[in-house]
Amino acid sequence: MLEIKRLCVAVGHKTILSDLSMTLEPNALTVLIGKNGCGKSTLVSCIGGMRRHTGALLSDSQDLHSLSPRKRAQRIAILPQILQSPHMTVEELVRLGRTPHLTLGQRFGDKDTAAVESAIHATVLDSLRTQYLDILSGGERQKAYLAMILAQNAPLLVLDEPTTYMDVSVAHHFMALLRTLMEQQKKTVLAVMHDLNCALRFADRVAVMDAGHIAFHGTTAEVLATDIIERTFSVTRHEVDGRCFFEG
Amino acid sequence: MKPSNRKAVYPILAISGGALILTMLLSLLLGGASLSPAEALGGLFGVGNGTASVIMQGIRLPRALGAILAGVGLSVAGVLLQSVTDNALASPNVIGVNSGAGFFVILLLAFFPAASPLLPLAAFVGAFLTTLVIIGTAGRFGASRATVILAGIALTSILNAAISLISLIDTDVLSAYSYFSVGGLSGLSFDRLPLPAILIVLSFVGALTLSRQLEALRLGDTVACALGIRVRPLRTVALICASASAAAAVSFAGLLGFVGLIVPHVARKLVGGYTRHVLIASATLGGTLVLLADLLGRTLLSPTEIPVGIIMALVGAPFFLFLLIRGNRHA
Repeated sequence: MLEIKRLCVAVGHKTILSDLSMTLEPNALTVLIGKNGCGKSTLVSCIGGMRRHTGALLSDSQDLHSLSPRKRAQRIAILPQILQSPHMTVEELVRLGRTPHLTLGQRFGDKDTAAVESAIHATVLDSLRTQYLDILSGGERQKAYLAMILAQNAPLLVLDEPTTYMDVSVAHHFMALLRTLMEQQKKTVLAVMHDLNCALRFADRVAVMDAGHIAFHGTTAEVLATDIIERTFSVTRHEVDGRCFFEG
Repeated sequence: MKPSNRKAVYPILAISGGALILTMLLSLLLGGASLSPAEALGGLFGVGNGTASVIMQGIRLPRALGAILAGVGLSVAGVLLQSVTDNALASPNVIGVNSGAGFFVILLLAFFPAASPLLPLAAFVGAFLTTLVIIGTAGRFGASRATVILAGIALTSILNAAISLISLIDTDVLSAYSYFSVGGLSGLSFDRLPLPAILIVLSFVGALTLSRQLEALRLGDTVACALGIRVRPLRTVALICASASAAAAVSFAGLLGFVGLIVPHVARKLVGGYTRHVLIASATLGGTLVLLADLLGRTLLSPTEIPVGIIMALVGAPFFLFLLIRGNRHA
């Protein structure tokens, strides 16, 4: 479980995150939504230890700041928004997910091999394992990176806009896969998303971010019972066959 | 269980290792003086013909070992630099190895000509100090890939200007400096090799130990950080290994250009992008290339010797262009 307590980030005189507090529900998919520039990616950077901040980030009551980068990576797997496409096979990429579990010079063991095989199989990438990342489609590459963070075997997964470069059907397929894996492997997932309709379809919980702090955090039903999304995004709600969707 | 595509690489690595051994044998057997294989073998172990012993132990063997060390040192430095800067054009030149070594050498020749036996030490100190300054300067501004290269370009320009200025003021140093600036192994003796050998071997072992972390760096700083890697210290240690390795090579082989830039590219074309394989392939290919260039330089126009640096530029560069064109045609 991740507890975020009074997180503040400022760059010069500009406040990016302002007294942000949130507790992630374990074994649930929490989607973080907010307008451009509200600080979502900054929050992800803080969780990953890549950004200076004040406030506390606690994982199972332990301050993340006190952990070494390797120990932190064993607890939290992060997939940033922008992903490289080096000339590397899918299998080699997934194997890199074991890096936090291997000390300097330590060789790959049976446990590591099993984790890699399990991740490739879970993401249905067996037929693509020897393909190079730089020739895969955007959706396939995103799945390969998902397999990498699964091989990392961390209880918390944080994904920053994982469906950005995907069309509608690929994005829905990816989110369905993410949900299935979360349930099967008892993970806690925090996903930053721009696509409101896709986010609301797959999320257990929704956190709405506005001007550097959490404006609302609750279940999908609870957030839809309010007009926070309409007010934050200036969108219009429509209901069809009992399902909500939003339009700008 | 190794990834399925890696099994195809092992025969290539074995062949490159075999090529290195074969080239080493040719380098010992062939030269300006004609020796039979039996004489050469006897001379290597100090048995039989005294002249053969002088040639083998005093000239060919140290020269062959020096060529291998120079090739390994510069190639491994090139791989490390291209990894940490994520720039295919990075080479020991970029981090000031050549300009730093050249500057200290020309200073020695111009102001302390009687101390010319200290030339290898001056070259090493100049190369290593310059790269430390570049690393330190870049570190103040975040040690990102771009700042390392920019700091290197800036300092290299200053040092090259200083070299040109000293050459202009004291034209007598030009002839002494020119052989060093081209790069060569003529007159190399065993006593100049132990310290560079230790540095080059340690850097190679260090690079292999860091190869998994360097592999993760190919995914970008953010993903590498998310995988638990301390990116800035890793980059700094890799740069120090690269500079020590390249400076050690330059100290006895002069400003051998081309090796650190081209050999890693050739290695990648043969074994793919996996860092550990690129390191091993670059080491064996680099050693083979410099050995071959030295052998050609000694025998092509014998008794006149063409410095290794000139052979490398004349033969190696067109060969690399051939690989590039063939690679683009297949693409």
